[in-house]
Amino acid sequence: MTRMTGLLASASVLLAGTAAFAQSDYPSRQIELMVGFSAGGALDLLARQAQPFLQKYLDGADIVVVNVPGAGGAVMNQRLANATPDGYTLGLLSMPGVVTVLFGTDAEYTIDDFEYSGTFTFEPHSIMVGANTPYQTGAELLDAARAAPGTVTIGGAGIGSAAHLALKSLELAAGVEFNFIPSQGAAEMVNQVLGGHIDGGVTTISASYTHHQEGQARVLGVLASQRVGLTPDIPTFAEYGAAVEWGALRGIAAPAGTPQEIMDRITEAVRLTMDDPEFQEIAARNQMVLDFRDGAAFRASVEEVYLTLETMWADDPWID
Amino acid sequence: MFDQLLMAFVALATIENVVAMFLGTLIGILIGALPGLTTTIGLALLIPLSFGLSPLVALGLMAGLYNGSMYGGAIPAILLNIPGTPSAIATTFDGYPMARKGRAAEALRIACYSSAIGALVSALALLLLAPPLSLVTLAFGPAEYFWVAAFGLVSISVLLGSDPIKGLISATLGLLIASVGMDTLTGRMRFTFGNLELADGVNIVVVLIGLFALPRVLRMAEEAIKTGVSRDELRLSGSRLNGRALVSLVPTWLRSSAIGIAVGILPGAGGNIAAFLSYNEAKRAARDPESFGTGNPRGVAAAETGNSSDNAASLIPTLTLGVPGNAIAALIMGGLLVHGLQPGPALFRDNGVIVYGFMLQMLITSVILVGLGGLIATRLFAQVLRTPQVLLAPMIVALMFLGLFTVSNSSFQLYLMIGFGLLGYTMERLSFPLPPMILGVILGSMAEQNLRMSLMISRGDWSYLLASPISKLIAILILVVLFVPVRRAFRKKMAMEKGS
Repeated sequence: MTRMTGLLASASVLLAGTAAFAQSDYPSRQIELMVGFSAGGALDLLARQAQPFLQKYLDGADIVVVNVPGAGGAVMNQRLANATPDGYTLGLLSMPGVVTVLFGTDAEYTIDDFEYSGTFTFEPHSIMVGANTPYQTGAELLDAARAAPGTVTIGGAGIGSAAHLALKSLELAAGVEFNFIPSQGAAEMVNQVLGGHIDGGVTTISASYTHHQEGQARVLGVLASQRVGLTPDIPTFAEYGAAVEWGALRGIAAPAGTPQEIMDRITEAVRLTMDDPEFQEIAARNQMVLDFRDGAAFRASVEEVYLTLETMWADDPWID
Repeated sequence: MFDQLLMAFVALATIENVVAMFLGTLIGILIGALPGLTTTIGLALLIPLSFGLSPLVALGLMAGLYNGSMYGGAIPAILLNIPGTPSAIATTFDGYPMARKGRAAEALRIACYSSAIGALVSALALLLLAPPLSLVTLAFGPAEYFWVAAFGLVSISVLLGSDPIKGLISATLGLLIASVGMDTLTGRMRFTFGNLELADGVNIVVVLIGLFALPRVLRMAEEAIKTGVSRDELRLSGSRLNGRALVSLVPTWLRSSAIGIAVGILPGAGGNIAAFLSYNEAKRAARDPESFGTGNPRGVAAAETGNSSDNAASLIPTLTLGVPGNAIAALIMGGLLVHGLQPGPALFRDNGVIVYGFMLQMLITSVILVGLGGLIATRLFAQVLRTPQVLLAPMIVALMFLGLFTVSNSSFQLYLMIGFGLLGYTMERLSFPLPPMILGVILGSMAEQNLRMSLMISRGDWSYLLASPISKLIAILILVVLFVPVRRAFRKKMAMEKGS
């Protein structure tokens, strides 16, 4: 037993030693920042726009953005979970996508396979309806869905996607039932809403708001506890009595076991990036809803969404 | 609008903008010509580089790349029977037979002119008709898209080849491949075997390179002892395209441009569908349909006009409504967004110079294409045929792998491509035609998803499929396409019986 403890002790000293060595000169080589979507998408653009700032605040580190597209980001998530935890392989995680694929798909990682660092954006989901639909407010939409369950058609990215589960949460909170029409992606859904083929759709506020401003569609509300700074005219569904918090939280993560000191340095770099006026200007131009949360807060949001989905899944699995 | 157009024109008349358009077109031709690198990949690689450029310079590069790559794809299609991009598949049908007959330079030139004309007409439609055409886009819902996909699937009949049974088997294989991946309508995984990398289905580029390029390379390896085509055989300058030959292509150009624009404004459909449909219509309209597939210049012209006239038109819904219709339009939208330009009606109001400038760039680069493609690239690329196959085959393989790995960063996709290569080689050896299979892959999920989506919207009511006038019209067109050949064959038989 003593020998065992001794072994463990020396092993941990050794590990601590390498960790200390690793941190003191971190970063000493190229850092790979993986993105789970193809080049040109929203997440890729965020990564590439943040990259020069992260480099600056990590003492001129060399950071490359690597696209690992597939399965709504899950291919990248899985690769990140299995990567060496030395701080040189990072990923830009998209929550709730990182959690939603854990239900009913082939993803083989858990939310504990990551260390969480700072976040960049939080964009609440929103419900939009076509300009020619009778629904003027969120209350009217909920009333219609309550009066005739399953008749109001609301589109959004496929079953099990963040958009679908956002709508499902709203249904649960408001006690209503929509007819969810899964589309290939948000763009296809918007086309169907604008063309009047479906009544409405669910997507992030940054994707729906421009259509609202143009009068092509009406955004009836966001799934958030308080109104979004960029869109003060859009009420929350909490104001209509359906308190739901759903949105896309995007931040940096590393494989579990990455030394805490390294994680702290990355989080600090994210914080400094977010404080940089130049980055804030870029974000405003791209209508990003900036929201810095530290690693602990990021982890807490991920765990909270996981628990919510676990309960929802146990009650009524959406993929059979 | 007119003064904004004029201002945009002035804004474009700077050295940087002109260089950007030339450079973009040149890069586009190269990217299109390399199997494994496609328009989508080229644009995706360009966007991060364009952050630091002024918006019009960045957009000029993109416009050039888009137009250039559509012609670029025709180069290996004609010279090697390997489509450089998915849109160039239909170009191989007559382009390669022309090259085999020593008319490579003529085929390349026709492809270049046709691409330029298609792109030009399409850019004019974008400039002059964008707002009304965007209303047509919105009129298409899931039911209408189902019929569009069905129309495309029916046109497979034209591609079946000499043995219809084998053609149908090939098309069915394509439909089967299209069913791989996560079913977005239920969230279920289909034929993914627990592999996450199959969750999005099989990438069309993987199928394309696997089916068309690898078997061709294997063939080259088999014939490696032989050298390339000799200088005399190539006939680069000898084959003058005279005015009369060009005039005879005008009806094909007009018809194919109209088809390309129509397909372009529909989200989801792309240049490959436009090329197939234009090719089919050219063949159907011809007095000598049997000459198609044996090296008919009109086949090349139809395919290349079709895929290029899809270009600017596909940007109509993106620019006017802010809804990207396909992967390429989504990337161009990304390119606008990084410069803080939100596509949609506001773009025309607030940044008229940029949006009209971009439309003009689509127009100007189509003209540049004639110069770069017709005069320089065609001469240069035709030399490929003179490269000994011992060198050419490994070079193509390297490019294929490099291109695919650049976008996917995944070795699984490379293995998948090799798998499709072996399948393609076997099928070719057993004389199964490959184009029906590709069309099955492209249209299979479009037909399936939209059919099921329609039925979800209507809550199971099938009459919804024929509810709109557009749906009815396309359904009738499908019947016409199916029954005209039957009637013709029946008449022929009657006439023969009368004669005997």
